[in-house]
Amino acid sequence: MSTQTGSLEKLLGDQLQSARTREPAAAAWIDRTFTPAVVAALVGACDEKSSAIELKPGKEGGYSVVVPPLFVRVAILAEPREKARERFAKKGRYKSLVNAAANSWRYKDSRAAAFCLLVNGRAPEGEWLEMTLFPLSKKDKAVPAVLPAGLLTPDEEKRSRKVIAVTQKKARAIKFPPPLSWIRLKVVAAFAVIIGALYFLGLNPLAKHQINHLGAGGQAGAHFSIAEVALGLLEGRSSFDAFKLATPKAASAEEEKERVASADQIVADLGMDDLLRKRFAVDEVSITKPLLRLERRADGTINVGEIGQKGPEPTTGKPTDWVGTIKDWAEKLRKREEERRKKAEEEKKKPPVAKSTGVRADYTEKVTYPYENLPGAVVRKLKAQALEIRFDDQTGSMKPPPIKNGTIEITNLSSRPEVMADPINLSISGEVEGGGKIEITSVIDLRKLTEGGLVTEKNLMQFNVKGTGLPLQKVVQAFAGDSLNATFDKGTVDLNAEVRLDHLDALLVHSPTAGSPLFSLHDVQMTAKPGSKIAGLDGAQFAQAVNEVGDLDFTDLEIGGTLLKPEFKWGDSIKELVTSGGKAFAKKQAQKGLEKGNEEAQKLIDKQLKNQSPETKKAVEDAKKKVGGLLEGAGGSLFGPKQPAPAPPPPPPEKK
Amino acid sequence: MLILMWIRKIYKSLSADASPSAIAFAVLFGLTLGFVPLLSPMALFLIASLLVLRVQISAALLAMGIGKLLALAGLSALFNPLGRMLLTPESTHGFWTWFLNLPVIAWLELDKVAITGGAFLGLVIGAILFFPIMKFVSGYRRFVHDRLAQNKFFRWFTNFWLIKGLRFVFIGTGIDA
Repeated sequence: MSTQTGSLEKLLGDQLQSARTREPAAAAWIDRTFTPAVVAALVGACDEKSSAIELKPGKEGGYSVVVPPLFVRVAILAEPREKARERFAKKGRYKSLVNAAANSWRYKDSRAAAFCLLVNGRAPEGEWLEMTLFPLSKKDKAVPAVLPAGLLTPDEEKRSRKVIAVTQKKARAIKFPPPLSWIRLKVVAAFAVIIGALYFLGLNPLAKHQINHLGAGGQAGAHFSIAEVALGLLEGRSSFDAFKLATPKAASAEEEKERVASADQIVADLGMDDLLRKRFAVDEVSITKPLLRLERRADGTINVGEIGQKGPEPTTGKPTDWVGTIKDWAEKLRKREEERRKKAEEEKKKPPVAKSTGVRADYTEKVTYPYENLPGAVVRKLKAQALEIRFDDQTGSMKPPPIKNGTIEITNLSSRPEVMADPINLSISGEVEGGGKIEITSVIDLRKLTEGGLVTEKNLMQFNVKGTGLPLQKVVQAFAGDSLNATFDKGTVDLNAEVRLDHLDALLVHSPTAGSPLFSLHDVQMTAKPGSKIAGLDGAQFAQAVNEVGDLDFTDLEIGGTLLKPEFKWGDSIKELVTSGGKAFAKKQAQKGLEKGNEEAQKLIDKQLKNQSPETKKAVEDAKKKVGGLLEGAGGSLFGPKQPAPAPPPPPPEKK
Repeated sequence: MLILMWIRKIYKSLSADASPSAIAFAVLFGLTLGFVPLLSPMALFLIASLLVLRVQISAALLAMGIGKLLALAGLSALFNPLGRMLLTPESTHGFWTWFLNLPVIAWLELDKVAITGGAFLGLVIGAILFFPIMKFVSGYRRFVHDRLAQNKFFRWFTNFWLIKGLRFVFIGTGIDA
């Protein structure tokens, strides 16, 4: 493509001169509009190798000028600003300049458009050249408005209007090129195809392979496997089928034996925004039919204790019962927490290490403050239905019955509970095989709260445990047999306890509502261990008294002290039970029960008679007199005059 | 052979119709890439950007090579102090806490002072060189293509078979000079 800069300059000059001569009225406008800078800008474009304006020698002398649409736009844009003109004069690819200019400027002056029309109209061969004017925004006014009257011949004007009409029509349809010219769309498309293919065809099998490969080795602190995986990263919903978890020491042959947990399906709603911020967050995890298998081995260790560990769990010596195991665990956790705190304090006290001054950069040096108050992983809600917990005991002790049809819901679970806004909430419920229901709600508050510059660590665990009809022999005996000084032969227990564990150490167990029993024994038969003491009293005497009573409420019992050394604070009722003998105590208890029943019945009747006729009230009073005598032997008249209210229970001993 | 290929690429970059700003951006990207470890997320991000954005890849690779050489020659000793200077002042904590937790940015490991220092140095040098490179490319094209190529002596000189041979070896075919 040949370029003839000088010729174009001359051509433009000639055309302008011709226009001035032909239309003296427009001369001033032409001079004002087509400044030397405008002309220079256009001429400059012809210097490019990839010329914007092509100049072809005409057949009868002169030149024909081909003005590509994009050039017109550049001309329009380049004219008003000095910088644009400079850029345009450079040897860059004009297309890029167009796009760059299109992003920077808007067409506010249609003088250049008029110029283009003029160039067109005065083309040497009298041809209307291929030219399209694209307004650069919807705000652009129609071009002829700036053309001075009589500048073009009527024919030229007619034709130019035609061009403009086409232009405006096109302008409506045109989508202005976005700054995508800076983006290699083909590469983006290739990436999209690769990622799409990987996502739809290969990502799930790959993920499954990787997960199973990691789980098979046990390096992650456990053996685990899944049958199917659907990552669903676009929807942010991943599901894993047939999940199995075993201890890290489980060889493939004994995987079944070392199984800790399994679930039919785990569905996780991923927090994609958090993932982009390099935080693993799950909005909700739903687990279908989870099965947890807790095994206490002959050496006293528990299978769950090995999860997350690389080596086997150290034995604690003589195997104890499950309560003992829980105590050991709590102690381990407490020690770990203490070590962590000590380490953090030491880190703070450490003088800053002399930084590397060598030639090599040290890529291990990091700043941590941006992530100080952010957990690395969060599970906002975890829920499970049809939960089953099985207990295996290899120590030869009684095996606790499984818990079935359970539900579990945990909220605000995170890798750094101390920085979370809310504490961890836990709720578990289930049915004990062989009778009884259990429900535990818990708040585990490990937050670090800052108020007025003062930082307080909560470290509080609070459990509300409710159990009804739990078989004493199967449940209590199996769980806490070694820790108790008695064995249970039959009976059930109802439990309503609030357990507080402060700093994983200070223990407080009491009834959540004053006056209601912490636990109640029903139809109980127990045997004290020889020479044992219960509640500071002779064990045998205690057991005999309890057996005589059969049903017993422990209202004024409170457990304090620490988890390792609990202190039982028995109220007077237990001492009274033992000293006065079971039968007398039972009678007194029954009396109390009847009095309470009386009061309740009286209240109920009064309430019901409130709106009755006087005849009805009289009939009831007569009936009360007759029936009252019959019930006197059983502890007083049911409808008789109100007995003085029973003395309130003695105040609980002062809490330490 | 590798050097010859490099020379050809550089020549092609300078002579092709890529815009000078694309070359200047390529140098900026390349230098930054040269100052961070190649297997870091930051480097992978920059490589992806190089591929996706319409910048001159060969110029970027050349700049990356130069950047690596500079780092090996001792410039990497500046990465840590520079990163520390940027990341550790108390007054900047708010900004960095916000910035380093932004989506995608959080994955770039800019919490490592040497990476932040290296990337910053690359960006600064790239930015300083940006306009000179643009001017150089424009000037080179104007001189070689517009003036030199029209020069009669040059045309006569380049018609010798030896010069043609050398041109073939160092520049390759398909490019007018």
